[in-house]
Amino acid sequence: MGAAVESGMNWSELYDKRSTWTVDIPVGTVGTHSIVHYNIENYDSWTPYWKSYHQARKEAPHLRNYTVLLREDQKLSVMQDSFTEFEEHQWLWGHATGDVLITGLGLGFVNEWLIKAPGITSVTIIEKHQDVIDLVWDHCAKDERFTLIHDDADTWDIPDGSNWDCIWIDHEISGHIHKEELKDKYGSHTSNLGYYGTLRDLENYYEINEESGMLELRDPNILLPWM
Amino acid sequence: MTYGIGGTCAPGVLMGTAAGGVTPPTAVTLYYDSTLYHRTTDRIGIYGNADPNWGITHGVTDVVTGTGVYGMALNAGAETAGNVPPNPPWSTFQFSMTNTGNATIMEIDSLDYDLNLVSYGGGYSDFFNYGGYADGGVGVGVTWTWDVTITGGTLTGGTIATVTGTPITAQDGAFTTTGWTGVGEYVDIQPGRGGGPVPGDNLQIVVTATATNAGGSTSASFNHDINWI
Repeated sequence: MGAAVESGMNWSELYDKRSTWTVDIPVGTVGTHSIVHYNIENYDSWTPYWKSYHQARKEAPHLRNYTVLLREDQKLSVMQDSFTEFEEHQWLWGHATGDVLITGLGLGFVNEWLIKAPGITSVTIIEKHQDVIDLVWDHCAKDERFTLIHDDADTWDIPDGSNWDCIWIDHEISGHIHKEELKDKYGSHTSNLGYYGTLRDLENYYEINEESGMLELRDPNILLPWM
Repeated sequence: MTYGIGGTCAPGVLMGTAAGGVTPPTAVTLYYDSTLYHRTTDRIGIYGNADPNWGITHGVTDVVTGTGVYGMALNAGAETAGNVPPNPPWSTFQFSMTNTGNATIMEIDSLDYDLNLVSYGGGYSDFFNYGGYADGGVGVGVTWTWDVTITGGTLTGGTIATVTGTPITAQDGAFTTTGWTGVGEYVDIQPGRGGGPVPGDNLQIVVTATATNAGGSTSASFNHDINWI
């Protein structure tokens, strides 16, 4: 580590102090999905998208290793344990409580917080792709409160009478209409419905206390100041 | 040899004739093309098109001609007279487009953008290409550089905007000279897994041309501000 980034971007050590959860998922491929580990030493193996992603989001692959979930028919990476992902989950950090429903397992990124967060009684995760389950579930953070359901969050029949204290929409949203459909589907099962990627106008923003590993309020509330 | 009046200058600022007797390039002014078209200083053309490399049709057509497949913006003439309104937008994505002294400000219809571009998913791109001519910059041994930089903004839904391509090293980066790639570098906007930009998102881009010789450098910049509403 420590080599200059090929893109020529001037990195700052400041970025190393940004908060994120990291996951410990081994490299592998199942079906159309793969787990890869990216750092500056294997830059040539990165997807073109991730070469753009790390630049745009000022990630720090010269300082740390990233775990990235790829799907072979998709230009975008599905998910990564990046600083940016942490920011894009700010709503969840502030609203996760009691019984929580998550759409999309991804890298099990949110598990890293939910397993230690106070007041979490159950976590139910819906994952569409068996490939992702096979790659991730055995290796992600979880305990007896965590349940995985193999189903498509778009079409899953929600059991009658089900309610959650918090629902986090974390699978791929294809646009406004899809988002409205998800709101209609899940909104009546919680008073706490949030979507991945919501950055602005939140009540609070959080960072990880380096000593305790717990979230605490961030002040000032600066949103992606590098963008 | 003069490096300022009444004291030192800030680093990088060179006034008068430098060491070796080389005079810095003269002032630079940006135009749409080498005819100095539209004759309003420091504004260049913008060509927005949906990624042509993916082999699918997405984006929207020109509302005037009903042809083409455009991304959110087209301001090829960069004319003040082309402001939207009163003119019809080049793409239905545009609520408004205002050409000012050294800038173009666009208001984008978030819902239309979402329905006609973001909803294709999979990271299909919207490109912004810039085309312009850098007038002036006269001097001995002058070389040229162009630079496209994203200077600020907020994009939600996991959307990313990056600068890609290779900047040209010529004075003339007009679309009429170099083709749709213009000054070489361009902006690539890719919606993320949480959807695309939403009302309130914004992006600021600066395009700069710089003339350099042994005496110093002279540059001019154009600002492109995008606001999703």
